[in-house]
Amino acid sequence: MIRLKNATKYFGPDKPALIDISLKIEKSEFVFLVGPSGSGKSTFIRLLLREFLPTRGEIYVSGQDVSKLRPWKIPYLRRNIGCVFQDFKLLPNKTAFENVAFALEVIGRSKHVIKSHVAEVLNLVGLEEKHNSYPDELSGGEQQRVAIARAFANRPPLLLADEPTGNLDPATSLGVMSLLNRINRTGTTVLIATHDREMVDSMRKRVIALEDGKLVRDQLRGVYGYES
Amino acid sequence: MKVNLAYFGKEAVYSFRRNWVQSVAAITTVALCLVVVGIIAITLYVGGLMIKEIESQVEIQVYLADTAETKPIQAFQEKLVSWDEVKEVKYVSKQEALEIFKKKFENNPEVVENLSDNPLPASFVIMLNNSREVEDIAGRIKSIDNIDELVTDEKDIKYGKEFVGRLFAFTRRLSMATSAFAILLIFVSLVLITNTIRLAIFGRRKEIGIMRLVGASSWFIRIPFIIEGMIEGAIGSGVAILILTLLYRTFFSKLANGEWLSFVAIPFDQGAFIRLIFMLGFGGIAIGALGSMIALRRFLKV
Repeated sequence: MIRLKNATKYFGPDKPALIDISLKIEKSEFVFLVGPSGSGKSTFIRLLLREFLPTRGEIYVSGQDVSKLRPWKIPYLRRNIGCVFQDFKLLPNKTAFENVAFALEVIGRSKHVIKSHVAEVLNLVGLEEKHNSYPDELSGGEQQRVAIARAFANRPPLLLADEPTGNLDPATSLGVMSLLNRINRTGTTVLIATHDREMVDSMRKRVIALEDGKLVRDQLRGVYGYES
Repeated sequence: MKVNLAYFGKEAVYSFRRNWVQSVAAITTVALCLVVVGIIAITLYVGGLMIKEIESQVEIQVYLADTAETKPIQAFQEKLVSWDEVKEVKYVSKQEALEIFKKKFENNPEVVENLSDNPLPASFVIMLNNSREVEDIAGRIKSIDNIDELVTDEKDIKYGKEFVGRLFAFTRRLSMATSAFAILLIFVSLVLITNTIRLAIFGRRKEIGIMRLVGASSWFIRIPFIIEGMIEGAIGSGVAILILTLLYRTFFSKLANGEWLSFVAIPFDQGAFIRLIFMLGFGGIAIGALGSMIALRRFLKV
């Protein structure tokens, strides 16, 4: 699903963000990407989304070298990657239903498909009764679940999450995490960047640790590490 | 991919209503610019017609010496007629020249009465297809082999050299200056439309960010803004056309009919005005579309 070969990103001549990362993530894996702030987690995710090009190295997503992707093809790459962020990125003037529908609308799905997909996915995240609520009428956890519904609405084979529980309390975080786990079990590859230690420790999934832009640990059934 | 026209239309109108102050500003500028461009176009058109009229009156006169014989005169005339550049050659005999002279001084018969003999020479009046070649042709006439058998002096070949030169220089400069002004105005309205669309984009950057994130194609994101720009351009040109039509009704048509300035009978026709309206409409929409494209170019760089 994802393969990096000596991927390196510099934001300036002496500002390395990721240095020489090589790794492989198989289809339908569930992976935590951990590390302190500024260790390069977000850069990693943004490279996969082809928001910018790597300074060196190769990045393959679904067998395709994203650094060689023609600009007009980037949208088609992104249609195969669901994305969730710490700040939800919901549109405040649209209801939960409309927010999810928007993602399908703008990639040209038909009205009929949108209607059935959105209802289905809101059902999956457990918000079928709040589909007419606006983001400011929803709790943080509910908003994040709308965002996950939006990311998953197009049934992408890969779901990326950048600090999805960063703004949520532990109990709510647990709900969001189990939702992502459920999505993973449908066969979707899930990659979560986080520094939520308890979460990582309790889930016992593959853990990839970054520190100062370098890969320091890649462990199956791992924990957050750095016992203090 | 099925293109959702209703979506594009809805988005464009929505954005237009959200930034209506900016939109009105852009529309106003487009309208003002196009009005000025229109006035310039009309002026250039009318000026061009007037100049063409004046130019067509440029002619070469060859005053023949009284001693010239009929045969070489006829040969000369045939030669002139055979030149491609020459439109018409008119022979004015001594007698005809006198008639014309008499007519001119009808009110002062004493001038004519004092003429003992007929002092006026016979002449050829030569009209050209392209009056810009007048200097050339005059030169060629002067270098005809036996020209000294026909005229006593080179000065008898006349074509108003000074006047012609100055007229052409003036028309060239006039059209250059006004065209430059029109281009400047079009540029200004382009900048203003670009700015309006940029603000509209800025107001919706969050939405656009999400659109890009979920994989909306660049054109899908662009089209509503381009439609918005085109609507603004179209409304602007509509207003301009309205103002110009009013001006045309109250001003230019009267000029054309000779109601105001009878000495400049401008052959300004309805057809030209309709063509101008189409040009302005198309121009306004093009400015709107182009302005949006410029505004979006920097923003959509992935």
